[in-house]
Amino acid sequence: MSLINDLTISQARKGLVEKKFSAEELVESFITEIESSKKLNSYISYNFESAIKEAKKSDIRIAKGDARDLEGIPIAIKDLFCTKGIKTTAASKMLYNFVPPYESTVTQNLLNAGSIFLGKTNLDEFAMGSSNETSFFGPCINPWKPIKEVHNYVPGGSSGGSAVAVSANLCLGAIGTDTGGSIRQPASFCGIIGLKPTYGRCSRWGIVAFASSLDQAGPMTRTVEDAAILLNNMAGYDSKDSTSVNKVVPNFEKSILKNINKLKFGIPKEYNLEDSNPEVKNLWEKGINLIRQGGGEVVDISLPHTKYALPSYYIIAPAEASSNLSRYDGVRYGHRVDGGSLEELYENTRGDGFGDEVKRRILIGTYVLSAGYYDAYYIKAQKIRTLIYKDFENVFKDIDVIFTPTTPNSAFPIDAKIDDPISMYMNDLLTVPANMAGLPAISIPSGKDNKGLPLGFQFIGKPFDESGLLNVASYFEEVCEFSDNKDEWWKS
Amino acid sequence: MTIERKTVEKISSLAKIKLKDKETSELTNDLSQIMEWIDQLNQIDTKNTPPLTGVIQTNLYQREDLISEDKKLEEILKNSPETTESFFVVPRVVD
Repeated sequence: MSLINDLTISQARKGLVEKKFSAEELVESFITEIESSKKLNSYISYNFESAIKEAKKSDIRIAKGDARDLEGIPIAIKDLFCTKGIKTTAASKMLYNFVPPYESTVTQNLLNAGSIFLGKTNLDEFAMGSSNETSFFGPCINPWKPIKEVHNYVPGGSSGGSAVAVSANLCLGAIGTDTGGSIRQPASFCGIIGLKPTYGRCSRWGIVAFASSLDQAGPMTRTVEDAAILLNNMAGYDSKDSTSVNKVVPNFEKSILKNINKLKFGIPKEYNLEDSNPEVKNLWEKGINLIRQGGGEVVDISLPHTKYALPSYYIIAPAEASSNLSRYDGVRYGHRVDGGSLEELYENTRGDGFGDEVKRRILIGTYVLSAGYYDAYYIKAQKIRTLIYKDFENVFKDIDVIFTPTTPNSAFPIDAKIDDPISMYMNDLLTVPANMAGLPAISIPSGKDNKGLPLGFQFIGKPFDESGLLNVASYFEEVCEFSDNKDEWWKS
Repeated sequence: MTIERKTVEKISSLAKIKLKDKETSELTNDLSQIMEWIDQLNQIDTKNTPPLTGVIQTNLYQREDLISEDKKLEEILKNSPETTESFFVVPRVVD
């Protein structure tokens, strides 16, 4: 039975319709796997009872020939999406007991397509982090680690739990959110596919807000085709999100052509970092050769403001976060610590309810927005955002897609960087620029480093050209032949 | 820019976050390092560059402010640490 956990969404969909197994069997099989994989700490809460109930309903629909696009497909949801009646914590003590009375638009779309939620996955607290170590519910653990290594490795973050659940076959696919790399970086660290769509493609309504001008939901899957299938069922205009864009959603599955003939690939020199892992550079070189082999054209490009993307991100994202997180006051929902006055209640609640990294970012945000510093920091960062946006606009006049590594390095051991914020922030050096410009970007497994840990290729596309990205990614998926040979050391 | 301890005390009070002494010291150090690293942005001249507040290039849609879901009072109140009738309860703010 355990074999059905290895399936792709595409294969499972076929198997269900051809009645090779039932949705209930599929869900039961995942429950068994999840229960024997607790060491990875990939889920914060389970939704098993309801999942079985929903699977039975899916089986009836399938029997009637009335299956929807994701009928009976068990998936995992980052615990940042509000799910009606299912606890939604954002991995924070602040929301440890919050049960939303409403469903986020993206999860509602996935429910409408017939998918089944196995549970809510672990993340960095309020999606602030690149290692999943800032979770109030403890770090999530990467199923990949060097052979004979005793220390556990981080899965990346903030969507670490979703990446691990996909990588360890604890769901057929998952969804995450990406503010500065939170889908792509963990996808790269865990050897899976992660797609951040164009800002505005998927509704942000009902996602616990971090940095509203940057946040975007996207799929995390084992194949490029599966990413297309999930995105088909997540995307779409939503009048509840004022930044949702009213554009036709193409059928992304049809864009998987594995054909890069005559496409122009931009190689930005600024992404060639001095302190990148040499294997990252070698693989990038190998990728450039694969472009030529596939009939694509390689174009050297320059994105001159790349090095300023990360420091300006660390003004804009905390500024927005300090405003968004002001709602956690201990009055209407979540954690409360009493005080003698209302003021003390606020201060005690927020002092106790937020973790270290969240406090750090709220304080940076408060500082850069405070009187006397607003122009010097916040407006300055927004001006630099203009320059970054224009860098991309310029190069896309001549090329179709940008090709880079996803991260400067592979996964690192737990505790290695947690006490050094700047070194932790550096993880997102190559992913943040796409968020600053709102562009779609995908990470796919490209190979491994000398420790046997996965590395990723990143492709950045023109606004709303997810189809183009999925096509390019499908070609590289085929020629890279990434092999998932990890042993299942975590099974109990 | 180096951040002083009293600045951290001031912004944590603005952000309504009570910090322990040790946290204030650690955050003073962390924030100083982070702001010094951010100061590299001053290398770029942005005098003639307009700020970018968002990346959406089309007009944002507006809609009528209508009730689409209602009768959720109980569900909403259930999440509050303390309520009475249909109200959230906080410490007395007026004498």
